[in-house]
Amino acid sequence: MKLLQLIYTSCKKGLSGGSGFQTYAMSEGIDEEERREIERYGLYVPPTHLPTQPGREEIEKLFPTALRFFRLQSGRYGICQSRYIGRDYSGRYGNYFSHALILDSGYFPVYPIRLYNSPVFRDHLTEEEIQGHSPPGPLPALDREKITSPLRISFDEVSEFIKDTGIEPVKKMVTAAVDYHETHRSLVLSGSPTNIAYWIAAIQMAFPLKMAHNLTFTTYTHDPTSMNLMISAVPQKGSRFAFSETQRNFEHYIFDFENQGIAGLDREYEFTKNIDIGYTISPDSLAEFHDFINLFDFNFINKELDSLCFLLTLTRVGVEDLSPKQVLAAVRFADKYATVEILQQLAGNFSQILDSLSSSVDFESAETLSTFLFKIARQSPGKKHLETAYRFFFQSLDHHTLSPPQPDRESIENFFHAVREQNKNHGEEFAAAVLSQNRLRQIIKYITNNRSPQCTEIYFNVVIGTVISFRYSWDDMEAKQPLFKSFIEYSLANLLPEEIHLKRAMQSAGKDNDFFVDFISFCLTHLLTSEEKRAIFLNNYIKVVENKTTASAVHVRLGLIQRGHSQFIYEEYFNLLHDAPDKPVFFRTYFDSVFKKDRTFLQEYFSPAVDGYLELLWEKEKFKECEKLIDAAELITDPEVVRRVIRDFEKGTVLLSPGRAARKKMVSVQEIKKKRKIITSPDITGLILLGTECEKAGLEPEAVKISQLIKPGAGIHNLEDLDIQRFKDYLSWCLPNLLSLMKSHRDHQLIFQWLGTSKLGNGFVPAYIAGIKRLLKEDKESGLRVFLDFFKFYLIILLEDKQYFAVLEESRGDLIKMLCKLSKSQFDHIRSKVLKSSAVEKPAGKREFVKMLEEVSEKKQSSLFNQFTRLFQKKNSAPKVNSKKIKRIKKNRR
Amino acid sequence: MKLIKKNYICPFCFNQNDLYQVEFRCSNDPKRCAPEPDKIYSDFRGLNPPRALAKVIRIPEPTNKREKLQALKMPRETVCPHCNEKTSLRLCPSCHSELPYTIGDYKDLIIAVIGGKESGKSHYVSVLINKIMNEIGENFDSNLQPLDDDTIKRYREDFYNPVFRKRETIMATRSARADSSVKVPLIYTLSFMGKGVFNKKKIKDVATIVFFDTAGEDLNAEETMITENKYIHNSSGIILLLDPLQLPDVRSQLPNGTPLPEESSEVEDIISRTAKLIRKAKKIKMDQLIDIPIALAFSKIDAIETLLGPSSSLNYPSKHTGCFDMDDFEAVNSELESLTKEWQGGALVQQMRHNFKNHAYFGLTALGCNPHGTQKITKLRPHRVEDPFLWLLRQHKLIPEAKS
Repeated sequence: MKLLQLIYTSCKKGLSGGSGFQTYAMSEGIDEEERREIERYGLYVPPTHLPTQPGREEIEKLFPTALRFFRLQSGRYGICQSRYIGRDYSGRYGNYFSHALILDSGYFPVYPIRLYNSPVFRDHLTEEEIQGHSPPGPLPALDREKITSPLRISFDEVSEFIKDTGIEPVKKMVTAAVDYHETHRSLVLSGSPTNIAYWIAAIQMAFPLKMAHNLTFTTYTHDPTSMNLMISAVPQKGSRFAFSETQRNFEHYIFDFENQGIAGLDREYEFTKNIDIGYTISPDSLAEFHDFINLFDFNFINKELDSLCFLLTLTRVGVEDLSPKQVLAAVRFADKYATVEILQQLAGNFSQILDSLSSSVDFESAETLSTFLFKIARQSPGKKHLETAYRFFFQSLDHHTLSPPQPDRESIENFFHAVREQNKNHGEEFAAAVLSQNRLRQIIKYITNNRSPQCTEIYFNVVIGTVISFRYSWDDMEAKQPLFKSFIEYSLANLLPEEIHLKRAMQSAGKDNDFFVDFISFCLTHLLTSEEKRAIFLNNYIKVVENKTTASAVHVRLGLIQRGHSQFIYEEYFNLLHDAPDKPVFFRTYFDSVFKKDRTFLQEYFSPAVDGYLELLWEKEKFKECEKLIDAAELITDPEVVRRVIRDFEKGTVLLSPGRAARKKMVSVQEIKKKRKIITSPDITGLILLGTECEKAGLEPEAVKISQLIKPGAGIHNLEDLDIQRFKDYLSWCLPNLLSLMKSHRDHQLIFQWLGTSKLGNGFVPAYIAGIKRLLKEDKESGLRVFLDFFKFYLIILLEDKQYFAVLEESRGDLIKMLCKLSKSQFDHIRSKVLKSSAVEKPAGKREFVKMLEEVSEKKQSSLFNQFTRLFQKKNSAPKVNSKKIKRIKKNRR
Repeated sequence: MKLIKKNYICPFCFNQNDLYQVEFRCSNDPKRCAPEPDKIYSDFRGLNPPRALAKVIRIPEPTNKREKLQALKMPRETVCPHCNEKTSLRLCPSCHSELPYTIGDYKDLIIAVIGGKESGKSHYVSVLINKIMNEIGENFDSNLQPLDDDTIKRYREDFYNPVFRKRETIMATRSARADSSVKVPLIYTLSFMGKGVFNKKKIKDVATIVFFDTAGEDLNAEETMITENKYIHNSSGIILLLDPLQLPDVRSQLPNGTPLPEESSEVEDIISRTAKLIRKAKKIKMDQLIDIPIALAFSKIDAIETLLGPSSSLNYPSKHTGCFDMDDFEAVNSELESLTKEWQGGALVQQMRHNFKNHAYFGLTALGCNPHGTQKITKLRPHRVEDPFLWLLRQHKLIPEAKS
């Protein structure tokens, strides 16, 4: 390692080519950018209050020496000494001389402040150099060790100086230097030049040499704000620094030793105590601290130094003097910066105190310590460290699980997962340790003694989590670890009384579907003896499965069915169905995903499933759902359930002309009913199919006899249970077709017989007459024929048969009205046909016929039309017509 | 003179910005509005780690018509979003230096004083500013006021005190390569009184005058000029000082025993480098002339009195009173041009003609005595110091001219 030199001053000839301020000469190896930086670091602006044209003696006495220690952008360290020298080659004042020594690499062998006023620095050009008319050659590179003698400021001198002046400023300056890393507030020192060097030395020597290279400084500057240095000394007078409140409070930490103005710092770092002792009582302790620092790959001046201090205490004294937080900080530091050798050495120290640590450190510390111990173990040969790490890990885990009344489950599990994650490259080994015979025995012992569901849940999650994360199957565990089933058994015994813990434990087991199936199967088979326990278990099982994806849930259900737990799954189904907001959707999904996939389960449980489903459906949903279920009716083994499906289907079916698909559906219902011998009353399916046949026959009325279609009394023709509205609907659909098929008054009788007396009220007769009227209007010939047959039916059967007594009067009135409305030819046709028929053979019939004709005649006479005709005839004979009167008559009639 | 300006040049980093492109620094007590690291400011000054300064407040770019119309004027103040305190400390967005409070309002005149080593630049600046403040103020009914504390402090400490109080020469100016503080300009406002309606007195014109002094060695290399002397190509006028005592022809004619500075023939190189720098920066081709007015002034003419004829116009004080006297100017200009040819050969004159559209020759002395050797000013007698400056003001139409 060499020291490169650079000299900067105002000279006749230098590296810039002209005269004036410039680099006079420098060693080879300093590049242009470094040169510019060094020139800036070498700047010397004399204090403005000093003489502007001083003599040599004044310069020596009054003008402070600026020794600057800095780090270049290139990473090289440098020291320069700048001194005011007064006149330049031309005789003008303002010249200064700066001599810089730059390390080509590495660190200085001594604290840089020890070069204060060192003879290694030049402070002027020789007369020959001043007058030299050609640029000088490059300066030689010096040997690094050249600067080591003579040295000016020793540790003992600094110690003596501090004993005189007090340690507090040093502690504060060191604290400010530590904070610089975060605050970027540089230290501004103001005092006598000699003392300044000692203060800076005190700060530097508080740290090991390598670390002290972070403490860049200058023993004099006119403007600390323009210098990229951590510590700047500036005189009270003659500088550009204002010592303002803003600078004091926000931009810098000002240590004004002349006016006792020491920067206020609230905090104090622990390691400054070591510095205090080192400077005032025992220099060896500081040296020991420095040696300890040097063991680590740590070269920053920041608050982590406190952690290092704790680590020193931890290794030298033990855990007693430290708080858990301090232990944690110490371990973190070691973890971050210690080399393998140091770690192993530290682990040796740690193992003696681990047992007490595991029960005394807080949770976070336990995690950090575990991580740390595993890190050491992984880097060390043999199993000793690994065993220590596992021992501490389990002890901490047990301590945090069993000691507090309410263990922090989440944190414990996070701790476990963090350590597991750290050991993921040694998964087999980690799993073997967590699931070892001894460990399980230990856990079983804990949970049987403790019986706390909280603790059991934690252990359950940890153990099962490990099994699942390392992809062990139930069979693996059964084969490898005889205690595993016992562990499950004891765990479940503790968990069952507290549903919340049971649920979380089951969730943990549910992370792997296959394992979950085996776990549930095992519990159902061996552990859940009472119905009550089983119900609790089912309830929590449902909660776990609910959170699974559809595919996973199906996988679990089918798995359990295959293991013979169909009843359990059916119970789950029923619970889910009960809670499902949209039951049809749930049912269909479940049918597709589970029932369809397992034939045995389908045969065994589909019927009750459907039954339960229908039970829970809203009335309005039933028809639609039953219509769909009819397609799956074959799968329903219970005939009673099929009957229920058909009944509910028919209940919702409208008695109107069906479409093609509906007709097809009706046919299949008819077949099912036939096959399963299901009878319903009213037989809606039959009625609809009959209506359809009537519809068909209406297209060819001549070819079909009504007696072929209608067989009153039984089977589909039984309308007894049909409600009024549906009956009316059915009539409105069927009657027109039936009327068109009428060929004799017997046919009318057949219809009346079919409908039965109970149905003949309720507007049947007006509907029947309206049907005939419509027929008369649409097809006069067949209409007249049907009317005639109905008239005959009235005279022959209705008059005689007492069962029709209720509808007799209604029919009579309608018949008279119809007769009135017939044209004369139609009326005459009817009269002659009736007179020739057997209808008037009986006296009652004849009498009724004559009476009806008279009534018709009367009605016709009093009809408005006839009155008007008469009036019109009167008008022709008598000239006076009272139109008002006619209107009045009309009105009255109306 | 109030102008409708569209942009402005920062006198620190010389970036040209639109008028609305300005940022603010919170002026509240740092206890109420905590400072934060200002990376732009620190990077510009080479400070690492970044210094914590009062918060910077950015003005959003104008988006709608109304805002664009408002952006024709530089915003005067804003409210800090962190502490809701008003602030009027405007910053250049490129370097975060605090802008002069008159920026954007008036014409900005950047005057660069350049010259070889020991040509007397600092002394010239020192005496010129004092002269403008006093005699020119009276003659032109004008007033030169420093714009900020830095200008007051720096002028007093570095320029005024040595010359006017201590009667000593000013220390050699440090190179801007080592000391960035020498790049900080002296900023003034120059206001002129005039008569308005009904002969009522009013301030007629205001200009911001920015003086840049420089170390002679910083003009020694083109590379240094580019990095450290950006103000030259951004200037509104250049005063190039030439020490006749450094010219070999003059030295040989002087009586023996005259204290002399170091001999130098750098002046041609400096003109050449300056012209090249301006041409490069402003992209001016060789067949075009540079439009920055340049005054080539011979300093220290008191030392060469013997070489001037008895009828030399330089023997008399300048006649610029209330207006720029063209007769006097032309007499001095032609005399000095011929003297330049005599002392330096025709090359320098040709160099000026072939580079600068607008150039003139002057003669002056800042101190009126030769301090070489003793570095003491025995008798301070400035002579014709103001001529180049008034000529530059005339070039920018800030003062009237008169011709018989």
